[in-house]
Amino acid sequence: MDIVVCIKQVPDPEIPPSQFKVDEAAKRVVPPPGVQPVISTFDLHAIEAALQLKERHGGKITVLSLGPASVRDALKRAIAMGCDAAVQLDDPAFEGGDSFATAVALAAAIRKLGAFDLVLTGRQASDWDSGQVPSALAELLGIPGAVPVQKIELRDGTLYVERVTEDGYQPIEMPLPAVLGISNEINQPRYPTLKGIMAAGKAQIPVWSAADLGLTPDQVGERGRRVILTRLYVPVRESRCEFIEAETPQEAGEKLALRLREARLI
Amino acid sequence: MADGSVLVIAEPSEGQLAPVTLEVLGVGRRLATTLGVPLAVALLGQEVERQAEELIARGADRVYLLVDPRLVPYQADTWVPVLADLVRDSGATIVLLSHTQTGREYGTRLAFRLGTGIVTDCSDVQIDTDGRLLAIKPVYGGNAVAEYKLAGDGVQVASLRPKLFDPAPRLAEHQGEVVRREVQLAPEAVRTRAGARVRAAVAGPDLENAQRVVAGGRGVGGPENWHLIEELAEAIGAAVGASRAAVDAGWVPGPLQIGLTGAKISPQLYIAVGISGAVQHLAGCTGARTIVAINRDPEANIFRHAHLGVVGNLKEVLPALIRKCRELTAQ
Amino acid sequence: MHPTSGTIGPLPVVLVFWILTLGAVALFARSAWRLVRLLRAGVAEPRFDRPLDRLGAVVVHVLGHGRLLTQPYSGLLHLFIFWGFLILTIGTIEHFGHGLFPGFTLPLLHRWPPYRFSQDLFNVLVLIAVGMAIYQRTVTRPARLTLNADGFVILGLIAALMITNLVASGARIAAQPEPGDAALPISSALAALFAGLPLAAQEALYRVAWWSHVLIVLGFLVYIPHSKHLHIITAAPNVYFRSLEPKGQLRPIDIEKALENDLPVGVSKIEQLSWKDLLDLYSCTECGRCQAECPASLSGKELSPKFLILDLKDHLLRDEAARLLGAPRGDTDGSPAPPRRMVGDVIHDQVLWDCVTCRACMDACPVFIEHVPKIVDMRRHLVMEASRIPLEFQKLFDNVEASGNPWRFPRAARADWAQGLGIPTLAERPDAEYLFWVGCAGAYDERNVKVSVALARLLQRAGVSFAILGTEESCTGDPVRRVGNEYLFQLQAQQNVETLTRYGVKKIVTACPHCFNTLGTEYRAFGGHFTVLHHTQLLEQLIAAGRLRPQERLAETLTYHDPCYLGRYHGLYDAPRRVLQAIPGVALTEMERHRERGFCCGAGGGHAFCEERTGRRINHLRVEQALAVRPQRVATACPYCLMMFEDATRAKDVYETLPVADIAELLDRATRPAAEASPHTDGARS
Repeated sequence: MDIVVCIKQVPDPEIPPSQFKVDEAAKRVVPPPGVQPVISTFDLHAIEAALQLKERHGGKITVLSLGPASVRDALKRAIAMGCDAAVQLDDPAFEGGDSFATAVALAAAIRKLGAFDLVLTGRQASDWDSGQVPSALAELLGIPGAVPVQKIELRDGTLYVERVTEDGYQPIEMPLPAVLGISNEINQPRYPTLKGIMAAGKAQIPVWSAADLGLTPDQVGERGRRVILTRLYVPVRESRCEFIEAETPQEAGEKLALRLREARLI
Repeated sequence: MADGSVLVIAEPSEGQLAPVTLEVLGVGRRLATTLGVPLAVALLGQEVERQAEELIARGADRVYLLVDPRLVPYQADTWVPVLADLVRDSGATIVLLSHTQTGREYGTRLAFRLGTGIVTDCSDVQIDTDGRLLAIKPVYGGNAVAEYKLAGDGVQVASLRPKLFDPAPRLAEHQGEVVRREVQLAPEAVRTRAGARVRAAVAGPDLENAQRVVAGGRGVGGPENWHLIEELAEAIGAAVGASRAAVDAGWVPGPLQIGLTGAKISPQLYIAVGISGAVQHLAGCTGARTIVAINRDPEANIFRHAHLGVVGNLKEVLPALIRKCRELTAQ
Repeated sequence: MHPTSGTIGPLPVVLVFWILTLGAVALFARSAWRLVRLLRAGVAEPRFDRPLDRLGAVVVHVLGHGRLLTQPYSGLLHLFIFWGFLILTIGTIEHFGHGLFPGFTLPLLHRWPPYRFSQDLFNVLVLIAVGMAIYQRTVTRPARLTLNADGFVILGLIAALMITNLVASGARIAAQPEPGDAALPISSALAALFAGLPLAAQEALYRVAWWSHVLIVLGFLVYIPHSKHLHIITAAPNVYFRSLEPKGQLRPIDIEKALENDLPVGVSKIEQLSWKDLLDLYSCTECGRCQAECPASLSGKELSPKFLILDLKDHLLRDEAARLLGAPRGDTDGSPAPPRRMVGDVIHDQVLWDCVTCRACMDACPVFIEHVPKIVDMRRHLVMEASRIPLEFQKLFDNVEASGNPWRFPRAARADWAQGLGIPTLAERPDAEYLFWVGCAGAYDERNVKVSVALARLLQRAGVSFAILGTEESCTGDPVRRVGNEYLFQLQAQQNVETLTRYGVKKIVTACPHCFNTLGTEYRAFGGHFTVLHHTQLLEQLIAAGRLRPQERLAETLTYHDPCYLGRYHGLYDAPRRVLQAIPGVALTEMERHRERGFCCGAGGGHAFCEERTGRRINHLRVEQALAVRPQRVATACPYCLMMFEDATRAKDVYETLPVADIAELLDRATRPAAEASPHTDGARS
């Protein structure tokens, strides 16, 4: 079973909120110094899902990521976990893309890799939280798909998945090839073994440009966006605790409820 | 401009109208009024006819009824082509839906099928000065807010975060029409086969993905008081969590534990009741956007990390809080 | 009357005796050689240095029963049996010589009354010891003992040996008295019993007793390699080859070399243990002293250090021996067994994770078996090869790798605790005499920051020249090493050694025994040679030199909890106590388990970062032990002990009545000039 996993490297989502900074002019997040980017959480689950399928059904796993040199660390981590090969998509033309523009590049790369059975990716990335890539890939590749997915089984060439719903799941079956957006309920991503880490260190990771993928600059990156970011900012939040003052505890409870409603939190 | 319309897509729901549909309807109504265009609703399914009346009463100018057994249960391969046809035929310029587990799938596929884009999980949408949709959404786990416009001049699609908007109110004497549409579906377009939804054994929102969480700690005092936590959670539609102390004491099972060695949560609202705020616990909830702490000890560490605080005995604060919340959410 | 005179059928008895003796010896030799071959299947390990030190331990602990006598009843009975065995062996040589070579007598000793008396005496002492042992196994039944057939069989055989010896001796005196028999009072008493029998009967009795004795001896000889009594032979070598490395030093691995040569980096097969590890398995006598001291066992976890060793031994001898000796599987017993994974099936994963690396087991073992290194080596397999790691430890690894501390707090915030205290960084004051290594807990944990502040104030008050690394400090890697991630540990170690060397650091003081151990002992393998002091050591020196003068009374009864990595690991029991006693008004009371027998707080082996899910919590047990001596406060010298104690006192609702404080906090309060005192920064609550 040949699987392609698309991963994204994002700023560490576990940075405490107080350290989070945005450059409003550049509309870009400024990560705190010394904090390394990581593989987006749901993408880790996607890698693990691919590894488990490979353990059960054999085949090869190729990991793709679009980004600058730093994503090579993410790709290496995926190889260290057990993936077989990796490709980096890097080109100035790819910069500034939204989910769709990125998916265009990913889809072209997937086609270039050749025949595949399954494309896995996280249900959404921990940075922009848009969750559009799995569906975009399904549309671009013209194959069936489902998101978010908490369980995958392959029975006689047919894919059986469980799509997460608010109160449980929905079973769906589909033929291969397909695209699945993976959710965290599915597994626990494994820690790389030492052999894996060493193999990753030696791995050769080719870099493909837009031209390699047969794409023109207006199809990808900033020019390929379907959604334009007009503003990015950190909402001003009081860092001090606002204590609810009241005569009695009961009054405090009521005031708190009103305060929460006022803040649209309930 | 008076051309076009706002189209709201009703959340798949057989029989009863889904509450989130009413939330999106309310927003759609506002946008439609601002733009001076009609508000339409797409109602797909089988047992959905009765919902049309309610939708009209709450502001829909037109309800497209697409009744067909092939649309039940929901699956992307049936809904997306049908909706795409509807959007093209109806001349909708803005399409809205709820960003549920289902909406996030078909809404996105629909946008791309139509050759346009979508802004997902919005916390607000407005009409900008140029008459185009301005969509606002939290990003980076809620640490930042992004504002978006759709490129080009095609249909603008946005999915709205559930439970954030008020449901559309009933309008006095509102009229609207019901338009039945035949469902055209090429068999070869449907590659998947979906089954009916299965309810999971554990009721209630899953802790790690919940938007609201109420957690109890040592201060709750004993299992006999734990119902206060559960009642508060239920009143505001929250998942129940606990600090390690409550799990250690055996008041709740292990999976409810929030902290360094338990669940990591990043809800919009986190209410910590009787929790002192040890660093190991905080490691599990620093992702929460708003932290509310209720504790008897004014020096408790949790207050250094909370945004709202009540110093008091939870046995006295909570009943009043629960009552008021129930009152407010029922409105 | 000669026992091997005459014939049996066509064969001279003496010939039969020769055949039996040689036969038994041959069987023994074959079994022994098989065991030796299995030992040689193990990995090489150099343990041949410092022969005098090694011999010294054998003298103290084998001949002198150093550790065994900590339990007086068992120790004494075993002392009798052991020395009885040695002394009586001479008699056995005489016995056999007499049978094999008619006319044989023991040169020099034969007529020496003290020698003859020793035989009688020890025959009786051993019988008494056997009686004591049977009493222990049937009436007292301590939990640490496995009361199986093997034990009773051996005791029975020993008793039989003693009885046959005495009966033979008595019968001989009755039938053929000699002048020197006065030196054999017991035998002579027995002889008196037999006096009434006719001579033929006495001679027959002698012969029967004599033959019974030799047959039991030969039987024992053949049996020894197949029972736990193998320790008779292996105990002394096992003690001789004990580890002379510092206790806190885990086995280093050259990871690059291992990977280049496709060698394992953890232990998952029995032959990946060293020959000394395998000798450990032979030497276990199932005494259970390790288990009786193990906090995991005592709190109901699956881990029992005793069964760990015995399960590994069974795995070696039953599951894997055939394969290791070259025979195809199932050859020796005829029943082909399905392959069992050593790590996973024989030793469950959870058993390995249960260990807190406190070393109580190793320090209790009379034959110096090394449990902890085997556990860590198997953990290394789970972590670096099999990737079967509890989620909490995966997070620990990710956090240390990403942020240099176990909780993923930002690196940039590592010096925030010191803001406003006027503490220079090493970059600001590179010529500082001491580097104060703060450690992750001391820098980030709210409670332990108070200890760092207290220590900093003490050092400033005493005029010590010191600095901190600030944001350049990164986790020493101790917890990740203990959990088995040697690779990540080496990354941390190399990084820290590079930083410390770049600053030319010579002297380090730290409040954390784990940092103390890793910086002082383990970093040597990475080129880091520093003089590291635990803060109580430095504080003691400062008090002795008059630079700190504890004057403020603290009229409290304290109990001091010995941290494992300070006490058992490095023998530092006294400095902390002396510092406490230098505070006027302090009375120290000791918990039952203190000093060498100190009971772990439960945080070791990575357990500060994961939950205990079975049995009782170790820290709860320790608090109960503290409460039993009714102190007014517990004093600690380790950030993890402090956290575990406070967790437990909160859970047991004694947080108010049993406050816990680090020694630095108590000394800070005792030496603070009145003007400085401020309740808000006081970590040690009154």
